[in-house]
Amino acid sequence: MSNKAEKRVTAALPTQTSLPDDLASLFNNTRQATPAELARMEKAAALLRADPAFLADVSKGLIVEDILRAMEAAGLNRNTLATKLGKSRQYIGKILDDEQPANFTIDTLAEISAALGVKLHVRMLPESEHMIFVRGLTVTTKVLPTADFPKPQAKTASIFEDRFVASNITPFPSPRHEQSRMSS
Amino acid sequence: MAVELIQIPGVTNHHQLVWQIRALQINGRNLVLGPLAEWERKSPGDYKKIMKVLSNIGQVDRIRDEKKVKKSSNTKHDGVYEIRADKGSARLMFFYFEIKQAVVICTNTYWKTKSSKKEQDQAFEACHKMKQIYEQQS
Repeated sequence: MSNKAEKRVTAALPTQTSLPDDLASLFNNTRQATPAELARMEKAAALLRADPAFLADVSKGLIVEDILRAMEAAGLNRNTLATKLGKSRQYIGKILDDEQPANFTIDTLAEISAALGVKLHVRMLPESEHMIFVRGLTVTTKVLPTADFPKPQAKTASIFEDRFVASNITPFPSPRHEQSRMSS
Repeated sequence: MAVELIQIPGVTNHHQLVWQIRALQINGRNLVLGPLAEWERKSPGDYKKIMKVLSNIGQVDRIRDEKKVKKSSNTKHDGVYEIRADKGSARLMFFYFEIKQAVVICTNTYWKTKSSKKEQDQAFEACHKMKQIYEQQS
């Protein structure tokens, strides 16, 4: 990352107090990354993002979190989920340990989703699109323009105010779009 | 005292769908990027695990798997967490901040050794102090 990028600040706050001595000492004694190291980190992370094993690890981690969240919402523990699935507790333990080489098949994910009463989305997206999570609404992706479709939202648009739709591959019209279609 | 949030190299927008991920910088210095750069060079396995958890953190409401993220058990350190390189030694402390925008703010690190309960507590303590500073100033 360049010096310029490094200095890109998302929140600059006013000067008010001084640091406590112990923190000041910590800051003074911690070595700062050099621009060359920052660039190296960018490069290393880019290599990770291109590594299928890393991508699989990240995805497994997310699935484990989704399962844990759904279990929490449904009031299920490992035993009760195992019973619901007709599997052993050890099986659930293996599924929830994303460091173990347990590979999820789509069939397995569908079974677990059904048992937990949650939706399953398995998607592969081009680099130009990404998933956007809108709390309490839906899981969607960046909108790409099509002839019969609303214009794409600016990347900086608030995800909480703007409604996004699934993609131009499987266009699900937004309620606003649907309304304008019906009225015309 | 100038308090600001800076980007962490390699943490892309793809990893920040729910939470933005930033490092806290005070008076132009931070306690995160130097250690991360060192882990990348000397302990790539731990670095990879930390990057994986960072990616997960940015994409879910809260991390529930305690092998990845552990909340401080000390009641004095309310709302501070550590990212763990599972079966590794790298630890990255952070807190969630949700007033103006949803941000995960990484504050400091430590390298776990065999008997590092004290070091962990000190790292949580430092994180907690930085959380208080950030909250007061915003």
